[in-house]
Amino acid sequence: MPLINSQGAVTALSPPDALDPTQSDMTSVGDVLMIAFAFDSPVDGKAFSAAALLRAEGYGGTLIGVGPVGLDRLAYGFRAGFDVLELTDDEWQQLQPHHLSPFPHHYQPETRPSQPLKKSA
Amino acid sequence: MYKYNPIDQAIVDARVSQFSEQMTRYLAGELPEEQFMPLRLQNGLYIQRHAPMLRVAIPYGTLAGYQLRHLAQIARKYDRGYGHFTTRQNIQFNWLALEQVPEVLGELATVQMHAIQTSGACVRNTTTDPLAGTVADEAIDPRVVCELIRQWSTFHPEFAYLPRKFKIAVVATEEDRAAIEVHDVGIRIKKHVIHGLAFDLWVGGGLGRTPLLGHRLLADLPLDELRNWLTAVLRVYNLAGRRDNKYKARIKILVNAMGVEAFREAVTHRYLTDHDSDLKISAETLEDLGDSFSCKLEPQPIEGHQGSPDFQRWYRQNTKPHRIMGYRSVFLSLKRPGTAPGDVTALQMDVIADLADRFSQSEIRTTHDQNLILPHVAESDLKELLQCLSAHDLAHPNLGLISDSIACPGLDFCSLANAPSLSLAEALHETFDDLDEQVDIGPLEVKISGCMNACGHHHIAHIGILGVEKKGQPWYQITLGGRDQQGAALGKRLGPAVPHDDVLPLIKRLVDTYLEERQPGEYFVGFVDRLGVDYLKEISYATH
Repeated sequence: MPLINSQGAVTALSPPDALDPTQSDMTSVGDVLMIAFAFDSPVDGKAFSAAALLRAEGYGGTLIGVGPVGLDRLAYGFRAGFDVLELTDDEWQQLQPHHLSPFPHHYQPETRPSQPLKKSA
Repeated sequence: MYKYNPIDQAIVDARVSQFSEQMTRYLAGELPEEQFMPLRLQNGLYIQRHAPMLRVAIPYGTLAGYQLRHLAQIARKYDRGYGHFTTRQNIQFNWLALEQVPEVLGELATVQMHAIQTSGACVRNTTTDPLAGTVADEAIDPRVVCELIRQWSTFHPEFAYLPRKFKIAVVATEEDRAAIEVHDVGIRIKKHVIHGLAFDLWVGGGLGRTPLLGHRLLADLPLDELRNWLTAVLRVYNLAGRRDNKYKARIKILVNAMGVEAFREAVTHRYLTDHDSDLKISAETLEDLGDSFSCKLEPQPIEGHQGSPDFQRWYRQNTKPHRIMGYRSVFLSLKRPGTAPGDVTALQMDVIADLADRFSQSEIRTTHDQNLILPHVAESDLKELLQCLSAHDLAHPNLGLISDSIACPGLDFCSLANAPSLSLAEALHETFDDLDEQVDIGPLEVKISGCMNACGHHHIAHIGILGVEKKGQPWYQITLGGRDQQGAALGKRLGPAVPHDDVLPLIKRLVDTYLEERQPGEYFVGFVDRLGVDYLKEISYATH
């Protein structure tokens, strides 16, 4: 499902189609400005790995998570490398700072921060 | 044993606050059941047949005396005065009030305990050899590796919402006392000429509806890269595992669907592409953690097993050698007549905690056979210890014998079960009530599951019993020849299911046949291998 903006390719991708765990992914998405991943349900966590492996490979564009992410999964999403995550109106009303960062420490290495996007030649 | 540092404690304290807030939102109707369910499950909270059940983590099956004493307090204050040790080395409380669970978690946190990731579609408590640190031939205390996995997997941002639950077991000896081949991932640590310490990794084993033995995916890799390889395995699973059918969602299904070679290729690709130097395990970390688990014991005179016949029987059956001269590891059988396997009263917990403090460096182990161990007991203390254990019904000398059976909670407690399990465990005690006869029969593992989810691990029993429903009534299928150690094998189905009251007579016929036809030195499982299930089927069902 490609979404196009006036500057070029702003692409929305869905993990089942877009990310093959046996392939390197930067070759196909490295110059895409923004990628949106869909969470299919409140227990679907595939997009967490999809985001994390793109960050691990150095993807520097914007990662957006849409669908039923839920307040209690925001912290996982941001730590996995998302920049933007969707909430419902009710969740927005309930949002508290601790939902964004429930733990003072983490055992895992931090996801690499977004890098300035490299334009393809 | 490992003690929390300030970071560990801060994380557990924050978890208590987080879950309390989630529970408040749920009880206020602000959090739908659909969203609350994965949150409560990841905190070990089930809604069972009679009441909420809380599964408390006992990381790698190691408990301190003060922790067990606090579990006893919780059993008295919030439950019905007892707890249930599980096949994955944890403990469950079966009668809690839902609204009191956050308070219980708060109490657990004061003694460095929690219920984090004891259920749900995430990486569960890593299990290991219950004799870790006491045996002479281990490459490293496997709890060091388990603790590294615990930290790596706790609230991992990628792996908290996997397709299904994910269970890891670790051993560091040739003998496999953790059943690594029937786990999603099994790891064996070994000494290595080049790497110093290396690991082999099995993937895709498991019981449940589709019992499978794991495949050896990786071999002879340096231990310092373990977390990077685990990340690669979990990434492939999280991206490619099925989510459309919960019965097809375990990693074993994915491995078989892809084929082992393709799965290995995918994991290797992810390892090479995503390798993170921060996940490398330093020699210093291994050393520091090793120190935290090591138990400084001075060699003692060897006392041997001289004593009364009861003492000698208990010594032979319920104690094992220790790597330090003059010490034994003492097993406390939780399989006694009149008691559900794995159940311990609050009073018994207090007694065991006191005995651990007095005789075993304040340390207790839980086993995946639902027994307990006092791992470091001086031989000179054994007679006094036996007296104390006997006074509290904790010295039943049946370890590894036919009455030392595993059983899931079954229909008495579990909302998934098709059939009772506990009544069959009790019937085993009644049918084989003569300890001399049990010793004559020798090593014989009976495991009972009340449904095909196989929480009683019946697939890997010498005699497995599976409860099924037939026209609204509980019936039982029998399997033979399963085992979980070297040469792991899944049991073969003996024949048609039988009703509840026919199960023990059938087992009795099998055992009697074994006693009559065994060869010198042949154990029951070897007898089954030699004669085959078809032959034994004819005998077992002859008078049925």
